[in-house]
Amino acid sequence: MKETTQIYDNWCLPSSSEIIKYAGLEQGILLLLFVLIGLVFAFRLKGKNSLSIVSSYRYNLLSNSYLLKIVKSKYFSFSIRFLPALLFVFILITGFYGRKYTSLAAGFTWLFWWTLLIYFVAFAGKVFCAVCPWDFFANLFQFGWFHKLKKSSSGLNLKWPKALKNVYPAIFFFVVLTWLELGFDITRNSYFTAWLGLLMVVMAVLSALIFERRSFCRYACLVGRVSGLYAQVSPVELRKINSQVCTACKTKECITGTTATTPCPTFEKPFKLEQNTYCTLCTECIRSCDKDNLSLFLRPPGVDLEKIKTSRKDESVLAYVMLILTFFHGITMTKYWFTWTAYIGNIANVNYQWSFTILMLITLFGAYFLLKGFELFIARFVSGNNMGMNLAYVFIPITLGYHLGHNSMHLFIELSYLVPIINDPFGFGWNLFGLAGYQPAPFINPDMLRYIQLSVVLIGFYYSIKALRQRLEQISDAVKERTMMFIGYYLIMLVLAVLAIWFVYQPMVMKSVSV
Amino acid sequence: MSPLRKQKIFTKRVILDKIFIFRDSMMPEYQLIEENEKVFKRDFFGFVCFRSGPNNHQSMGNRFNSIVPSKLWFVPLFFCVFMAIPFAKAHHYKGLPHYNYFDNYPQVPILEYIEETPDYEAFVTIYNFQGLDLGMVEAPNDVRFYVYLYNIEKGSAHLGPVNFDIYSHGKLIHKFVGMEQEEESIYTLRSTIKEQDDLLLKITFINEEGEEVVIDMEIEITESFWDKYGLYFAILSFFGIVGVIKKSTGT
Repeated sequence: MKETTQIYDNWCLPSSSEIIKYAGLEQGILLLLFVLIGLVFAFRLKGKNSLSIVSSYRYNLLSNSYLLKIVKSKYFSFSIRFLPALLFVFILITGFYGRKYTSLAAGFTWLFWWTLLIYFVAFAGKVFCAVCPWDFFANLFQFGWFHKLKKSSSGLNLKWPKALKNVYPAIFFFVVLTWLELGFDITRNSYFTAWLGLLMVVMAVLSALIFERRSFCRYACLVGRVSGLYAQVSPVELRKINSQVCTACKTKECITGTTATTPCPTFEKPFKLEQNTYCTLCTECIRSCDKDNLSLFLRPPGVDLEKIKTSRKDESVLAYVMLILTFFHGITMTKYWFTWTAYIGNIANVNYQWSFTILMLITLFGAYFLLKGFELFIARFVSGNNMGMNLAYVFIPITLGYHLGHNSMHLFIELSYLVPIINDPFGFGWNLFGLAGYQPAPFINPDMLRYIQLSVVLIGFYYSIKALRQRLEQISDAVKERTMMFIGYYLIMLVLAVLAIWFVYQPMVMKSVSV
Repeated sequence: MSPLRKQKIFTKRVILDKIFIFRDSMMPEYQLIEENEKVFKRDFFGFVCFRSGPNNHQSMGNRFNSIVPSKLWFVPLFFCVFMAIPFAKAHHYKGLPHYNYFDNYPQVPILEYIEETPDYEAFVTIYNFQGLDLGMVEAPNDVRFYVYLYNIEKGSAHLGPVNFDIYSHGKLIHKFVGMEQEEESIYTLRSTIKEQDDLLLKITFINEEGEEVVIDMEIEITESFWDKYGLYFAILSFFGIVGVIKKSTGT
């Protein structure tokens, strides 16, 4: 057995064999599966075949009349957001008045919400936006209690600046948040976490009162935009039921709103909706439609990515930024990161925050230009202009796959740290639920966790290659071009998948709240 | 109607009559009971807002609405609750809740600092607390530093002798040589510090590889104006801006 292990060890990615006995075998099987997936989708790139068909299977989640009645209630929006909003206020209070490193705010926000958010997006779409506490306060200030929505809102209704009518503000906030999160350790600092939460509420409320509809949600909310791109993979969507009903409809209340409902807060046209990106699942359009022709559906995952309708440059940049930042997150938790930052700190004679910032900038720009460079190289063999923009979306599933894998680690190892801080939310030594003696421990054994992580990376890789295959067909008719693009993007995807697996086998520096 | 309920209504009526001196109390008993049944159902604010009898009262809600627009009544309420929290602290000793003087002070750390280096993480908690019986304490201005050193590489606490130097604005105020960890791998230091000061805690030790490790921790105790009132200023500004916007839109 020892000899067999040694043989497998020779295949291992660096440092895997130190911890896991059959790491080489596991990695070998995964590599084989990556190649198999590539071969399956590369097969018959010429012409249309069974791989070209985008699934049209849908299940109407509101087919039950009682469920539909609940969603159509004028108090629905208020009801589903009220408790999250109360909880949010409580979290803020624990952050402002509790202990800096041991109160509930940091642990709940970063261990629970930030970790589970990605799971929710992956399996239930933008469900967080539907219960968003920030938007609850925006509605509260704009419409009052119970969110008695009406067409004419009490705000200045100014137009969002034209130059910012893209997702670049959200990208900026996302990069800044990552910088604060990893460089300044706000994930453990409840006080700064509470300030951050308050800032988000202030931005959401002021934006609602100054600009028309929910411009903040559409253009600047980093949570909404990041989950928006991920939601293209999710198996939940809000769409029209019957196209003919919408075509015949002359009033289009889903766009105009009614006396009791608003137009779509994110400026979408619900009857034309083809992608989940900007839909916040607020269900306002479902309430507006007197023909009950809009509903929530279950669908096969990743369908949005397989058909090109609205590729946008800013979204493609966000897809790249999400890819880079997600993997960057992994790098910063390895021991190599600390060696590099110490090295830069010694050279430049600066502290950790500065060396982190320098290295973060080098990594982000370096990775971005490397990807763009590779994209330009492949573009030399392709006649169309928008190849990079259209194909940036295919990175979303693999990014989500690695993100889920990474978060699985936080979820199953660190989530138990929530118990002591729920038991003592301010860190004042309370014992509310008699759990003072509880010792946080991982929920599952490391082997099971690793299999979950590897599985989600594999699933993400599968959907990325599938989306690549479908998109190529819509970009180009020339088989040679398709083949070149497929090989090029497949290789990038393979490198990313191997990198994701390498992270799974690395010992990670966990950043739990101090309990 | 049960006799007990009747009794309750009459008692309440008598109390209210003493306060408001009802002029229209000359009525048959059944009518009085009926009328008082209505009074009984009113909430507290309904009672305290009587001006000329139960049929012509001004409710608390109406009076409140004349001051604050109905849509925004929650704003001052929320603000009052938020503002009340620090005042509640005034009843505590040094920000800590307690049950009676010189006894039973729960140990709640209020100052915490973390410093990360490539290999180690230092976690310092300062207890602004001197003991269970403050009256018996020899040095009531002392505070305790609890220092925990975590080896990131090994994933375990550092054990072994450690030197600690505490500087105040570059001047060495305390020196601890060869301190050993106590319970749960925690080093305990005791020092007198000013209520408002910025300190530097220099932690020096030899690691398992025989190399000297130095961790400098900045400990800022000074509370600036913004530390104290920044949150309230931010909330006030926020409501100010919201008020201006709402006023400019006429809502």
